Amino acid sequence: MTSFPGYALPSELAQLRDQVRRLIREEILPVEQRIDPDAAEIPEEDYRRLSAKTKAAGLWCLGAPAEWGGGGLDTFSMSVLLEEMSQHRMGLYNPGCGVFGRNVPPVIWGGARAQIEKYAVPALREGHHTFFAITEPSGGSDPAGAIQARGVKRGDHWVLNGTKTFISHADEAEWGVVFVRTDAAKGRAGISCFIIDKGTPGFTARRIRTIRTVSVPCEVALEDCRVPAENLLGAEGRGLDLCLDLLTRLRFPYSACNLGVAVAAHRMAIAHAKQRATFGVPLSQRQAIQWMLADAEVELRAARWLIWEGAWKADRGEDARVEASIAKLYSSEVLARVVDAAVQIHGGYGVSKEFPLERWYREARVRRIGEGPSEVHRMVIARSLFR
Amino acid sequence: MGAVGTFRFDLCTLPPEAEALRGEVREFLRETLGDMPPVKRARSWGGFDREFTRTVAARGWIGMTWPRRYGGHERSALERYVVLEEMLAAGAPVGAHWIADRQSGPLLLRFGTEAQRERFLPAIARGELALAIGMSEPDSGSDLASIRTRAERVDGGYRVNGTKVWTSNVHRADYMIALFRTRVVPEKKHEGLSQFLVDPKSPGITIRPIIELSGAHHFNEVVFQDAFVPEDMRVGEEGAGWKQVGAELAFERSGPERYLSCLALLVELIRAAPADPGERMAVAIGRLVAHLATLRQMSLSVAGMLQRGENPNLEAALVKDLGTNFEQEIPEIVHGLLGCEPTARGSDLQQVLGYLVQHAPSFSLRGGTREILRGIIARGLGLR
Ligand SMILES: Cc1cc2nc3c(=O)[nH]c(=O)nc-3n(C[C@H](O)[C@H](O)[C@H](O)COP(=O)(O)OP(=O)(O)OC[C@H]3O[C@@H](n4cnc5c(N)ncnc54)[C@H](O)[C@@H]3O)c2cc1C
Repeated sequence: MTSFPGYALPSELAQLRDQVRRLIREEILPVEQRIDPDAAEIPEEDYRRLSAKTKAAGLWCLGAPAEWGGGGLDTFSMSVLLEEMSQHRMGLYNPGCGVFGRNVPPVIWGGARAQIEKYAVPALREGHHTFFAITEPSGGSDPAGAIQARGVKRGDHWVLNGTKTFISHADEAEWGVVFVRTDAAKGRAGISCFIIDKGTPGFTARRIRTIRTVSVPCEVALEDCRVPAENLLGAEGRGLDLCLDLLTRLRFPYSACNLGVAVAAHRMAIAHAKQRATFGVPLSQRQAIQWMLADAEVELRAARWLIWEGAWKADRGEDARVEASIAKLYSSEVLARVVDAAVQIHGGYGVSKEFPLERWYREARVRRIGEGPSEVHRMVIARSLFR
Repeated sequence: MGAVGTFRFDLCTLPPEAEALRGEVREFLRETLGDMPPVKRARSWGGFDREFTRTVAARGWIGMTWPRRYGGHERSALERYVVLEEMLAAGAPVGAHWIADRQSGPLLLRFGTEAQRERFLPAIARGELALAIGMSEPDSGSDLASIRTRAERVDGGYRVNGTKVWTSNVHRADYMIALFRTRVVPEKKHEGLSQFLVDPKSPGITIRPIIELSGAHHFNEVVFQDAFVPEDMRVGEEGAGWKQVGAELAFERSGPERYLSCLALLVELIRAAPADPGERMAVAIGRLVAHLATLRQMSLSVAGMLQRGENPNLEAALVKDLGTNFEQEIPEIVHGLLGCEPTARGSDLQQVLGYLVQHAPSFSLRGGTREILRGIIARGLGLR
């Protein structure tokens, strides 16, 4: 019998993780301390200073393909790192404040070489904002059915019309991608994906105020928006196929951000419980508090294994769609429970702007809606049980 | 073994005069609030509107149970209950008189000097005086008796140094009733505490806003640096503060505001529900309404105890704990049913949801946290 060698992270990955952790604690936390608690970004000069640092240290764009200037790390490694990168006030929606590089919409990797060189490479290099517009006011849970925005071919360009909603960064992005219906008769095979440049006439983005005052998403209007034919990404009618696999994979690092913020909230709650005493006894010695924290600890560990297992499976090229739903569903719900307990344990401080907990609480609410609401992920999981 | 405690929830029915009042209050609210948008109604007793408060006062609905000689109206606690529940159900902006009517007035009535009663109670009943509560401190919330803000005797009064925190609406209030330590008694923290009427605009007092989760300013930090409070502004005897605060908190916890904070959302949900809501939504709404009806019965029973002059401390803690759980559950359930993103724009339902999602975490903190209430309930059961 061979014995199980046990689980251990490769030592290079563990080292990277420690580097990221240090950078977050030593550089990001102090910057966040002195800016508006609801800020969506750190000041430009800090961004430049810190990204120069991460570039020099080889921590820039670790997840992007190596052939296009990224670090080429796999989904598993990125999940491990994002758990660290997200552990600060704006970390849930802006992990590392972007100083480890900003993502580009994954569909771009399914595009032609010329498209990648023109759009993806400079965006990665410069840390540009980009956007990914699929959700429409009629619903985001089932994009294939809900997409009503239309694209019609006219000679050497396409004319796009429609509305997209809850699109992050659409107002400040250099470019982005948008999914529209190019063949009304074909259902999911009638959807195509286009690249839209900043300032394209007929494209407007207006901010929507949600309860996350931060990553204020936008409503995007396409009004006779003319897009050159070469901006079609992939084949006509294949827009959704282009990204499904990549979107599945991205759910793991996304879930790792949920986990990271939950870990940070949990750590704060433990520290507070040790330090705060009522009736002469530290909160940490009250069973009511201990149980909240014990439950949180169990759930955090469970969430981490679910993310790691799914990411590992995806990296081996296996179908990890159900695992992605499980990781997303569970991590976002654990995040909500853990942050809620941390708020409760902090008493009045939990609901004031002095601590990051209140922001995490608001954003955690939205995490159960964005990237497919909990209900849709439950459906995906259930379907796999009855196949 | 000690006796196992029990809770009393006697059925309480509202007398005809109270039910008669309900129609009047509804009519008044329809006229005064007009088509106030649902998201404003969702503020519940957080809405602060002095103009509205004066109109309510003119109807005789502030200080309803107090003696006439102090500007009161000598009505029953159950009549008052009807007024409160109608105001809350309509989402009326009652914040400018809520605290004074609920706890500060009754406190002055019971422990204040004759001069204080004559000066403050009629002004409260006229809707002219808004009060705030200065109990919590940076290091003392649940364990209130550990407060450290010192009031030391000086010529003609007291000199105060220390810090209060989470003081709701003190930046808009005319007075606050604050708890200070007038004497340090080693090992006996419950002794040496006293309550005072403090004018927050007096010299030596600095109010700093604390922005809360929703982005609103309603909490504050209040710093006292050699602030002077005259002797005749002390409420009750020196050193009797702890006993008085206990009585005050019973008033604070016993009302219908502890289960109605999310009523506006339940109402919007029902409005938005389709004619055939489907099983899942029908079950959810039915269950919420059943809980609401039960909580109301329990809360009414507490009002009945107050009316009979009994002490409803334990029962009030129980209703508040159940009530805040109920309130916190509503945004969760509504979201689960509709899956809409809570926004500051969008439909009435979305706006109300957006507002209440951000207020819900406070429900199990303010006025005694969930854990503290459960401790009180456990004590009531003879468990500690
Ligand atoms: C919206 C809002 C409005 C408020 N308005 C006012 C106001 O106007 N005036 C005012 O004076 N105060 C006000 N407060 C303060 C409020 O009364 C306190 O927040 C509350 O009493 C809790 O105190 P704390 O915040 O210091 O938490 P702590 O007492 O530090 O408690 C922290 C956590 O530990 C738990 N805990 C404490 N002791 C125990 C124990 N023995 N066993 C188990 N768990 C325990 C608590 O339940 C809580 O979860 C307000 C608070 C809120 C949220």
